[in-house]
Amino acid sequence: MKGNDGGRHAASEFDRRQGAELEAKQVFDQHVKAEKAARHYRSAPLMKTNSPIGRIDSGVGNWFNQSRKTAAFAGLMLLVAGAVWATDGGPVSTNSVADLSLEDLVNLKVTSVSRKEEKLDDAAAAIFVLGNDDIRRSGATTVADALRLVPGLQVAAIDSSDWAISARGFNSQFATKLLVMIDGRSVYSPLFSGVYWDAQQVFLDDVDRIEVIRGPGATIWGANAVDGVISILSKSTRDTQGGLVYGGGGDEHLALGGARYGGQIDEDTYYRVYGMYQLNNDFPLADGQSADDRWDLEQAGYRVDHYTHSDGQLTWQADAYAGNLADNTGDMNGFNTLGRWSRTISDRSSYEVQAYLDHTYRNDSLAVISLDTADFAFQHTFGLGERNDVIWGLGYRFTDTRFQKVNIPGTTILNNNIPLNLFSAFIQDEFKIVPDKLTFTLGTKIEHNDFDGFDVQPSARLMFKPAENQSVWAAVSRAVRTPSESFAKELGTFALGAPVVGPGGGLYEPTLFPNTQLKSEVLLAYELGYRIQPTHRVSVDVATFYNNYSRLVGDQPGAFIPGTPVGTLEVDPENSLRGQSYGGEAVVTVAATDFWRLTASYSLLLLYAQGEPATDAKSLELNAPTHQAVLRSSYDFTRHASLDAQLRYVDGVQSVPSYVTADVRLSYRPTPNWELAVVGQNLLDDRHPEQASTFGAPTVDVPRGFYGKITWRF
Amino acid sequence: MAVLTRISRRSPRASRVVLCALLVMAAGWIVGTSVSIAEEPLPTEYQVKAAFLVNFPKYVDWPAEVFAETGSPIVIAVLGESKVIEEIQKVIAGRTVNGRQIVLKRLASGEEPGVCHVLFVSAAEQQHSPDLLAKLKDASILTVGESDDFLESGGIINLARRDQKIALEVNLAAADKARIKISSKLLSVASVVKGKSK
Repeated sequence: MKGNDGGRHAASEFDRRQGAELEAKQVFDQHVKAEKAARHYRSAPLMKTNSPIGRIDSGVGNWFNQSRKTAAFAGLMLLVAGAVWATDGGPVSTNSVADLSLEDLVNLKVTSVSRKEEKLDDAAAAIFVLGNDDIRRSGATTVADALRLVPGLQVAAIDSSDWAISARGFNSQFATKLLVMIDGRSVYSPLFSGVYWDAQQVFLDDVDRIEVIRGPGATIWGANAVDGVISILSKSTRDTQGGLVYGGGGDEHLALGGARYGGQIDEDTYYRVYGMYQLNNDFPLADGQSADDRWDLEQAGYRVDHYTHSDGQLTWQADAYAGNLADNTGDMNGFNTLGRWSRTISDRSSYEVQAYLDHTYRNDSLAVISLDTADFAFQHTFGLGERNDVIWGLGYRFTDTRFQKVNIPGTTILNNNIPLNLFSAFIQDEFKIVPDKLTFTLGTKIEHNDFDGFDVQPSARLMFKPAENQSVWAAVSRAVRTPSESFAKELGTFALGAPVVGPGGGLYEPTLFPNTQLKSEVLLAYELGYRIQPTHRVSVDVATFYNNYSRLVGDQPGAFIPGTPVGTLEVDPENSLRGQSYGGEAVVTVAATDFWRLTASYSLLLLYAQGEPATDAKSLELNAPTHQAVLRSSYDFTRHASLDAQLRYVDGVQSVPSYVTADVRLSYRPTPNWELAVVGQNLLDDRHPEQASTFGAPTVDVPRGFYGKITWRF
Repeated sequence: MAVLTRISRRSPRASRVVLCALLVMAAGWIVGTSVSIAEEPLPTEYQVKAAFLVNFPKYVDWPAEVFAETGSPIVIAVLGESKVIEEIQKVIAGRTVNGRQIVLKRLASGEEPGVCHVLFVSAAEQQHSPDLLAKLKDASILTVGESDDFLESGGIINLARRDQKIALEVNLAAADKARIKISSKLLSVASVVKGKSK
């Protein structure tokens, strides 16, 4: 009895303490949750066969259209077939489990639904994960701006609707060496070898996380995952039940609005639908004039998830968008639909089948183009003996690019329709040399495209965990970047700039000619990383690299072709450059108190290029900031109010000088359902440039801006 | 000439389509085999958690006043979205404990539990649990969670995933406070018992 009282006393003491710390605790839990979310990522890639460039066919014709339909149809059929197979595996009778004794229950083995999720500390790669909470607290209104928080990524606004984003160098509007995926769908445009960031929007509140790998990911993801991979993953519909409505606006983000509703179709099937709109104001030019780059975007979509009782999940999603560009002088639209069937067969074995269709149309100052993609991928994971885990997969992609019009004067279209096929296969084995201590991973991707036939992209990774809170990793990998179609395909000739004086004193217009002999650019990367969590409040992550690039594409001046009134200076893209880069990124996260978290990151990048022409080599060297630093603070006053701030330093790029800027977000949550936020962006100066335009247009400044936003959940 | 080119290009393309089809069929075959050779699938984490939840009433005594009358049902409430809901629904039909029916009550995020006997706080609701548990500490509700700090926050039972098994962790002090008696049978299979009276 006495003992009992003692116990009670201790308990009430415990409870009192808990009560006093309740607010702090709640706030801290949010941090812990965010931290936990950030510490998990899917190591086994889900259908990440995303090299967008495939085989080139110069033939045009009806046959091609059939082939596209066939590819799409085959993909869908397979999906259905997969679903039929998978539902065959009968579930364990739930009743029989419920009838077991407690003793049996605690000894019962369950399937590992989180099998594919691996702790961040165990990844032998430079990976960073932005969680849903990080994105919300950043105040970003676009995917591109949210990426500014990722250490080691170079994110620069070219104007109001265009961004240059890359990792570890080679940054420009067409950052050719970074692969970007949204829910397993590649959004890398094979035509220009880059990403149209304004068209890549997602309902940010429904994003589960954004995973970013700096360095090559080509063994799993395929060509163009040279310097990095960005994977944006939305939440399952089961986790987004109920409604959410937001609205707001300001001087730069003139209007923001969106709504989502998630519900249940039957006990195993969930859905959500969403719609959103944003209108963004013009940015100024250096002289204060408007750059006339105001743009808007409206987008809607849905997703349905069906769970089977045998650890299977069937997902079907679709999005459609339309927007106006450059003060209504251009426009864009597109739609996509994706189906995925995944199933866990046993503890170490699972498979996944995915197919998608994507249509993109864009009419901007450069060209009017449309791109259709059909993609199919299959992946299978299984255990081989006690210590080997094997993952392998097959992929096929069909893309059809149509060049409807080119808005650059002096440009000729030779061929306006380019169908491409890409076949790929990969295999990777993770071998536990010493379980929980030392793991060796070896794998390769083999792809076939028509530029240079087969590309082999192997990697070897070693992970050593000397202690529970520390890990050391090293990797050697090869990755390739397939040349963009406009260069390698007989697509057309492109005027490059003002005429030059040639032999005999005549004027010649430099014009880029296609080169069908172009080969893929090659990277051999050596990486070394270290992570340590000295206390539960501090974590440190350092990644270093040495990259050796060969066969980089340079524009070689060729023959002078006379003509009236001006002749043509032929410029040929050739694999005439090579480069080396080294550097690293360091991230330190400190949970200073239960309600205050600080993250500091620094990245260093030194890049050297040689070869012909020397001006191109020099330009590559200047294309990335040598130093970048970000300091981020997340502070909760109470559980109702929080303040977030980020301070960013970015070194000079090309003609653009270095800059320091800051964003601040203040949030007030009177009840759990309502949130009011005020955000200030680029606060430290009236305006500053971040990146020069790729095509010689005047450099646009990024102005200071403010906006407010109200969010209601129900 | 163009026609010739087209025809000559047609056959390698056709062969690629055949190759593709073969690859797809191979993939299908592997999927098929994997399914057919797979053993009886193991139960899912939430099937087991649901089994625990519907079985707990057998091993727990509430103060008599929590039931309005002798035949009142036992209410299992689940806070937040969880796969456990569907699993409970599947097994409660016709199930009784000491002559009482078992009823499932679903609570939206942040909702007050009201009348219930077992309250499962899903992982999704983890951040609200310290608040909620402080509020409920004197109510005679068997609080069950699935997060590492659930017991520290004042919860009574935690269903913890330990490797491939679900372990039972019990906070006796919290049970005492809620005037809930937990049978020795349950305690004997628990891997952790906190606030044990001597």
